[in-house]
Amino acid sequence: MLNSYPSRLKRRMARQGWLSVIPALLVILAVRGYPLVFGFIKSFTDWTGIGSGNNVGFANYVRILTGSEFWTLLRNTLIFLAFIPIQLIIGLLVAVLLYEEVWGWRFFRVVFYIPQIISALVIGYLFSIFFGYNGPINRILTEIGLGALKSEWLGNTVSAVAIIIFCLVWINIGWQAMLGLGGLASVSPSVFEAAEIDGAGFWRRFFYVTLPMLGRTIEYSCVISVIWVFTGIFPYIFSMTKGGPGYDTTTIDYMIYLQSFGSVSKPGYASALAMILLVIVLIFTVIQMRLSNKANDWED
Amino acid sequence: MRKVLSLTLALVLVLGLLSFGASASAEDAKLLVWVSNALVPDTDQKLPQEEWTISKIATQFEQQNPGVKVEIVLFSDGIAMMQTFKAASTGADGPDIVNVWAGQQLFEMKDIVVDIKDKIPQDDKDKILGWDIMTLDFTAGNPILAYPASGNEVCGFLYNKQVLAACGLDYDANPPKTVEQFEKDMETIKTAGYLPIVAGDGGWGEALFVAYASWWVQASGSERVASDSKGLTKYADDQGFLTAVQTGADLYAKGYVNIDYATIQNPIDVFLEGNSALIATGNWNTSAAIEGLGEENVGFLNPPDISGDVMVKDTCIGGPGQALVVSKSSPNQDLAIQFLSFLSNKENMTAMNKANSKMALRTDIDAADLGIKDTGAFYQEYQAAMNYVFWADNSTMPDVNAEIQKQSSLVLTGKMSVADFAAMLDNKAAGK
Repeated sequence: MLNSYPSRLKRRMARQGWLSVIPALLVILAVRGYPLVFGFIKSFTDWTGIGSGNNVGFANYVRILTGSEFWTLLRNTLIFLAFIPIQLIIGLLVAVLLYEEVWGWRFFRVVFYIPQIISALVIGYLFSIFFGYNGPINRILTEIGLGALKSEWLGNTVSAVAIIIFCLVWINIGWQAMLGLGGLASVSPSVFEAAEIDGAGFWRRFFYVTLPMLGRTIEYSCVISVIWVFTGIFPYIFSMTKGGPGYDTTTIDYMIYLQSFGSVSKPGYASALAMILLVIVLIFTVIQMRLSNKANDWED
Repeated sequence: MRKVLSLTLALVLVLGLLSFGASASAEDAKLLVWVSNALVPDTDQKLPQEEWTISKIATQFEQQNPGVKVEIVLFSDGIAMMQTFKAASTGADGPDIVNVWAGQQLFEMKDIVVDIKDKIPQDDKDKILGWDIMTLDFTAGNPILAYPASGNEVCGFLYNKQVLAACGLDYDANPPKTVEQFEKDMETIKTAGYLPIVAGDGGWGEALFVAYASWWVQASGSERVASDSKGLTKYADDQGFLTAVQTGADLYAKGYVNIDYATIQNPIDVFLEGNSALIATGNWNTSAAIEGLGEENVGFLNPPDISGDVMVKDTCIGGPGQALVVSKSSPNQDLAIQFLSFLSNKENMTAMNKANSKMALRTDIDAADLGIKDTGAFYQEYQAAMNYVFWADNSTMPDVNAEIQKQSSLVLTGKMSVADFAAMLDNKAAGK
C-alpha cells in the first residue's frame, strides 16, 4: 500500500502535466496540424484552388523530383546556408565584446539588434536601392575613381547571391550576439578569469574557452538558422531580386509562393513542394542535433 | 400563467424570426465587390474611400435601387485577390463581383463565374468593346465570362520631346515607321549622350509585354500566341516570337536600353528626370509623365512595324486587360450584372476613364468626352486604341506566362539566347 503511493503521485502529476499542456497542444494542433494535414492531402491532387482537385497520386512528387528546377532551388537554398558560419563567428565575437563591456557596449548592443526589428521587406528594398545600378555603392565607386568596378550587382548571379548572404548576416548578427550573450551569462565568470590568469589571449579564450562553452547555444542557433534559411528568407529575396536573375536566387519557399499565389495557381503542386521542404528541414535538424550531441558529449 | 408565458415566448420567437427574415432579405441585397488597383487609380487612393470614383458610382446605384448596398473592397495585390477569390468562391461570404485579369486567368475560373452571355443588355453588347476577349478561349459562341473593365490599356513608348529635339528628332511630325529607322534614331540619341530607352522588367517582363510583344502579336496573331503556350505549336517555330525577342535583345546589346533593365525599380523616374528619350510603358504612366514634363513635352509612339508583311500594321499592345466577373456563389447574380452594366454605361465609364487615364471601352465615348485635346500624348493613345493587338501575356497560359515573366530578363539582357528561351518555353508548354 505504501509502495503504491509514489506511483499514484507520479500518475497524478503526469495527469496534471497533461491537463496543463492540453490547451496549448490543441491550439498548436489546430493552427499547425490542420494546415499540415490539409497540405499533405492536397499534395496528392492537381488542386488549382477551385473545388477539391483530382487525386493524382505521387505525380506532383515525381514531377518535382525528376525536374531540374527543384534541384536548382535546393542548390540555391544550400548556398544561402553559407551565411550561418559567418553569422556565428561575427555574432559570437560581438557577444564576447558586449560581455566584456568594451567601450560603448550599450550603444552597440542596440545598434546591432536594430536590423531585427525592421520589416524584412523594408530591408530588402533598401538593399536593392543600395546595390542598384545608380545606387550609393556604384556612386561611391565612381567618386573614388573605381568606376570600372561599377556593376549591376543584383543582376549578376554571383554578386546577387553574395549580397543576399551579406544581407542575411547583417540582419542576424544582433540576434546571434544576444543569443551568445545569454549563453555566456550562464557560464561562470571564473572560467574566463582562470583562462586569463593562465595567460590565454583574447583569441585563444574565444576559440578554446568561449566557443566550447557555448556548444548548446551554437547548436540552437544553427538549427534555427537552417530552418530560417529554408522557410523564412522569402521576403528578402522577393524584395531584392525577385528570385532572379532567372531562377538563380529563387529558393524552395519562394517557389511555393509562386506556385500558390503567383500568376500560376497550383496549390496542389505547391503543397507537394512544401511537404518535400518539410522533410528536408527535418533531416537537416536531426543531423545537426546528432552532430551537436556528439560534439557536446563532454558536458555529460 | 404558464400558458400566457408560453404564448408570449412563442410570440417573441415568431417576431424575432420575422425580423431576422426581414434583415436577412435586406442583407440579400448587398453586393460585395472586390477590386484591384486597376479600378481604383492612385489619385483616387489618396482620397477617402467614399470619394473614389467607383465608390461614387456605387452610391448612385444604391440611390437608384433602394435597399441595395454596394461594398467596395480594394486589394492592393491583384494576383493574390484572384487566388483568394478561388478559395472564397464556394463560401457564403465570398464576393459577388471580382476584378480579375482578362484572358487565360479569366478562363481558368470558368467553373466559378457566371456565364453572362444571355444576360448582357443588348445596348451593352453593341456599344462596349472587348466582349471577344471575355469569351471563353476567345472563341465566338462560347460563354462570356465577364464585363470588360478598367479601360483600354494602350502600351508602347512615351517620348520626351525636348530630349528628342536636342537630338534633332521630331516624333510628332516624323515618327519612325520601321524598326531599322527606329534603331537608327536610337543610335542618334545615344550619340547625343542620352539614354535612348529606359525600361524595366518589374518582375513580369514589362518591356517585353508592353512594347516588344506588339512585334510578336502583329506578326503571329493572338491565336498563335495562345497555341504556343498550350503546346499546340512551338515557340521555336514562331518566327514572330523569335524576331520580336531578338529585336528586344538587340536594342539592349547595342546600348539603347538601360543596363540595369533587369533590376531597375522605378524606370519612370529616369524618364521624368529627362535622362532618357523614351520609356517602354503603358498609358497608366501618361498622367505622371505629363505632370512631370509638361503636356507639351510628352508624346506616345506605337512600336514601329517589325516588317512590311505583318498581320496587323501600325499597332500596339492594348485592350481590356481587366475583367469583372460575377461569382457563381453570389445570391444576387442578376443584381450584380445590373451593377456591372451601370458601371459600364457611358457616363460612368467616362468618369472612370478620366480618373485612371485609360481609353474608353465604349464606341460612343470619343476623345472629347474624355477631355482629350486634338494633340498630345493622350490623343495619340486614343488613336492607337482604335487598332490594338491584345496583350500577349493575357493570351498565354499561366504556367508558360510565369516562365516568361521569370526568364525574359535573361534573354533581353543577353544572358540567354533566344533559341534557348524558345526551347525552354516549349518544354514548359509541353508540361516537362
